[in-house]
Amino acid sequence: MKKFPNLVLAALFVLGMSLGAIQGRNLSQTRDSEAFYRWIINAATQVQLGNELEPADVAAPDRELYQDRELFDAVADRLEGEFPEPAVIDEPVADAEPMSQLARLVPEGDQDQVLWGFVTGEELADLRTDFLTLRRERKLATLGTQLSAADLYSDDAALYSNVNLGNLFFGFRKVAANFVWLQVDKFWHAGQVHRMIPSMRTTVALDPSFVEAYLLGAWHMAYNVTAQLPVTPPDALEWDPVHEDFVGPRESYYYIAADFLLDGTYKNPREHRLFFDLGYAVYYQKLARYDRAVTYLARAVRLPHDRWVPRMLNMALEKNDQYADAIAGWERYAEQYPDNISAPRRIEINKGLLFEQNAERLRARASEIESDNETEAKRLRAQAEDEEKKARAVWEELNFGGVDPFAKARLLYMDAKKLHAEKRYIEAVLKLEEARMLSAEHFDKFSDYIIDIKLEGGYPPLTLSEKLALDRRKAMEDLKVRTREMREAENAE
Amino acid sequence: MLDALRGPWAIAMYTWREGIRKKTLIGFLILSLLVIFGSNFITAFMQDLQGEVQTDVEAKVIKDICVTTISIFGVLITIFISASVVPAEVDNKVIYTVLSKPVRRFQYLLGKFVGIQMIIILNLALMSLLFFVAIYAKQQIFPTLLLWSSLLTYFEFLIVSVFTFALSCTSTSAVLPTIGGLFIYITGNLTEYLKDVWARSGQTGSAFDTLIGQTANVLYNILPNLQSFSLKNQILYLQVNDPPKDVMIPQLIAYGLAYAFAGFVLSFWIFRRKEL
Repeated sequence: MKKFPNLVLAALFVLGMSLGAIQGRNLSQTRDSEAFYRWIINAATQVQLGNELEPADVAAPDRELYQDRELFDAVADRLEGEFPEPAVIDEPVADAEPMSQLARLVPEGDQDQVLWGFVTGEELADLRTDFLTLRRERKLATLGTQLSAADLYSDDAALYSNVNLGNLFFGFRKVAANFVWLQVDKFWHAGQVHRMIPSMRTTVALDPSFVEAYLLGAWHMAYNVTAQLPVTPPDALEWDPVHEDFVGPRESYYYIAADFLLDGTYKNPREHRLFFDLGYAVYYQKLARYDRAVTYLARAVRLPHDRWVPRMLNMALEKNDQYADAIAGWERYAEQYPDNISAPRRIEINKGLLFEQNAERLRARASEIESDNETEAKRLRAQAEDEEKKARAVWEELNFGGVDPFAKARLLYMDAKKLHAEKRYIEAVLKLEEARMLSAEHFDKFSDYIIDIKLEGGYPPLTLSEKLALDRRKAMEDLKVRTREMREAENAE
Repeated sequence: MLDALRGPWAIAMYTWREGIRKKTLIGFLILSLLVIFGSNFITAFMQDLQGEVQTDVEAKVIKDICVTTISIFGVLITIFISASVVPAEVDNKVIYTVLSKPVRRFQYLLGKFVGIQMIIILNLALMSLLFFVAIYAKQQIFPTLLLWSSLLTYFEFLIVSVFTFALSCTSTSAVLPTIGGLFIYITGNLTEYLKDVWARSGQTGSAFDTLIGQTANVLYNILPNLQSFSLKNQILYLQVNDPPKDVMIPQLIAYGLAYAFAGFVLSFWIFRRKEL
């Protein structure tokens, strides 16, 4: 040091800067691996939910550019069989599509360390490079919405830029997101909904982990914005190929809320509140699409969740006619929370509904095979009678003392079906009219049944509201037929 | 060995005593504590008809504002103290008295640097403590991940501090190092753009374009990238057993220490040749 002090100091300085540069390179590679790791978790979660990885907007001109599915399949094939199977394995659903191990196990969260080992190792080195290239070229839809300066300009620029406006905030983008969110709140209280929506999107683009923005934003869109909108009449509905549903102004807001929450799940795949709101608040409460509600609530239940989440899953299973699964769910819930008073009642209700469902299926099967095998049809009908007796026993026990309107409504409904079969139309209608007033859950279903009985028998005459309901039903059926014909014609072209 | 460290330790202690009495520093600290305390009221605009705010949103806003406040005021304190310590002593000639003692320049510089780090750590600890209290008041839980966030913030400040300190060794006034420190902080946060420049270079086919891209790549790899410390924000929202976080924390610490070593060597190299 004394002889060549400048040389030694220069060497030490270069050594320090080199160590820093090497460590910086390591950090950069770790951050790239982290992005790949998080993308795999996101994509696996979406695949497990049965969602498409590419954007569902079929009108998007550059849909074919997105390569999420190819990349995910390549990763899944490479890692098939590499994860240790858990000790308790759920019984596979009979007609479910086979799922890769990656999609089956990674979303649960138990395999994170194993996945990280693969992501940072040599096994996925080439796919990691592909991911980074596709990310830079913005060809991955499952990354969710990202704030980029290039998005302000042409689509071509958007494809090849990685300039991130977030960096301009010097890492303070979370605070920027908070201040934009305060503006959203201000707009809401001023009734300026049209200004809320772009601001909400800006908030979550700045801060993807701002879960509350997703939840509150979706709540505003699905509940508050639509509160003043009337129910769309059938002739104002249009077919939405993206969501595969008929939508009007009101329903479109529900789907905006659903898509907003789905974007949140891309960036926060381990946040149960997003899946819960998507399943319950939007699909269950607003859209009445119980199959989708079950899918998302089932995902929410597999993450650390609040106490009420399994309850709403069980309710969705019930609404989706999955009574056996609902019973199992309620039994698990009752075991976990013995102080819950609704679980025992819901178990009985689902048992009753299951018996009724079995009876209906047996009768339908008997009708199908009657012309070929009368003996078997007779046996099936006898079985259906037994199932109905069991259902009736459940309702009578539940309604002991006349205290349970739901059970009483089901008993009246069973009576009405029997009277209908005996062509005693007036008595059947009277039973149903009493039943629908007892239980709001059954009002629409029993009202539709009343209309069907009156049309079949020709008497009693339809009321004005029933005539209007019939007109709406016919308009809806015409719309479905026209839409189906139009889609068939488009496919033929 | 212990004798050799006695001198630097004494210098560190008097640097610390002098530094914590500086009015500017106290002013920054009080301002930061006021902002952290005031973050509890920032959501007063978001009350519903019952006068309540969603607890989750409120806690999130408090966390973000506190982390940002600590970052902003912390870096201002860091730059100010790192930029002013040596020039102030050169300006008021105290340095001659110190160096006339059997204290080597290396020991003097080491003592000064350690004293600066002690002041930064104290300020960071005070702000973090109030942050802890603010979060505990809202959520009744101790945010243990905040400890990691504070640790990473310190190593970010360490990099800014050491290069500002190096700059201060060239100057007799605190103005230039202060401006330099701000410049270091800003460019450290914009280093990511060099990666984009390199990624997009070569598209025109021009040799100059390619040269710019390669220069950007070299600079990106050499210069410290303060955006790497953005984990200090994300960490508050990550799961406890998050594999990338567990790997990145020691990497960031090593990153900070490597550049701190390089910056200190640079400081000594400059100071060694300085005519006093």
